[in-house]
Amino acid sequence: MQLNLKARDWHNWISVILLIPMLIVGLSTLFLAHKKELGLDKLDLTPYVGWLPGYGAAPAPGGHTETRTALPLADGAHLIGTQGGLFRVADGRAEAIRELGGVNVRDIAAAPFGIVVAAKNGVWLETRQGWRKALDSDAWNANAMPDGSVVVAVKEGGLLASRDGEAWEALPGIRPALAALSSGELVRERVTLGKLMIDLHTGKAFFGKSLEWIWIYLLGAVWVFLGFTGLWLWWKSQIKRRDAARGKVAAEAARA
Amino acid sequence: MLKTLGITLSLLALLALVAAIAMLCHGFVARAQMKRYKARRSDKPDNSTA
Repeated sequence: MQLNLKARDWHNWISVILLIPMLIVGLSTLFLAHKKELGLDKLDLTPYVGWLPGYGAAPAPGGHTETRTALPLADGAHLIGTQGGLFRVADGRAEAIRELGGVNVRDIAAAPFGIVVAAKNGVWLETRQGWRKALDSDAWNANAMPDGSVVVAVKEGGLLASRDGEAWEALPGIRPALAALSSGELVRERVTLGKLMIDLHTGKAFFGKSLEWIWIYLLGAVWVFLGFTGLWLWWKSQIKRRDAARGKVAAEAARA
Repeated sequence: MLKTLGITLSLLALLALVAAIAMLCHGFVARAQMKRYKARRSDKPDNSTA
């Protein structure tokens, strides 16, 4: 077999071979640009993606148990918050808390009204009836205050306090005080070469965090556009060449 | 509302991906057919020099 690949052939064949990964990356990029607006993180697809090799049918033991936080309990046991859920560890045995299975647990605080857990999918409260979600918001941490209340830091709402785990109110004065800081009091964000590379990649360096979706969207759309137009051109050329070859065979048969 | 839009767009993207795979397969089938036609022509004895 003679292999004489020119630049055009390299271009064509690498594009054809990598077309599907290219389209997957391009299309998923478009969704990532509007992940928050479309509420993609709220759609749980865990039962349907086990067939993908990267996820596997069952979680690997110890695979998602990177410890994030811990709380000693009165009975000598510990509540351990990990990247992949909340566990109660007693006498050398760990028991998973079912309600928080697979959830990134970031902080645990003991309050008079129950145990409060700050997790990626919300603020959770342990009551006598079991665990229930008290706040549906991405929570960073939870702190027990001397007055018996608990303060949690959530992604959209800032600092919220509660005395019973039911009603959550913003801590007064915090946001306006932070908003009133003058530029002289704020230290500029440190930009390392590594961070610059990430920000060039995501578009933050050009558009800022709030508008970086423009960059992501443009690049994703271009990727999808080039993928589909390339596929169309290649497909047309294959059909044309096949029809030409068939035409010649038919013409020869007619002459014979 | 936006959640429904997200699901709809995801399904459309999936459909586009399936269409791309189908086109790719069809292109390869057409390529194989072309090679078969070319092979049929080259198999024939050349009468022009006879």
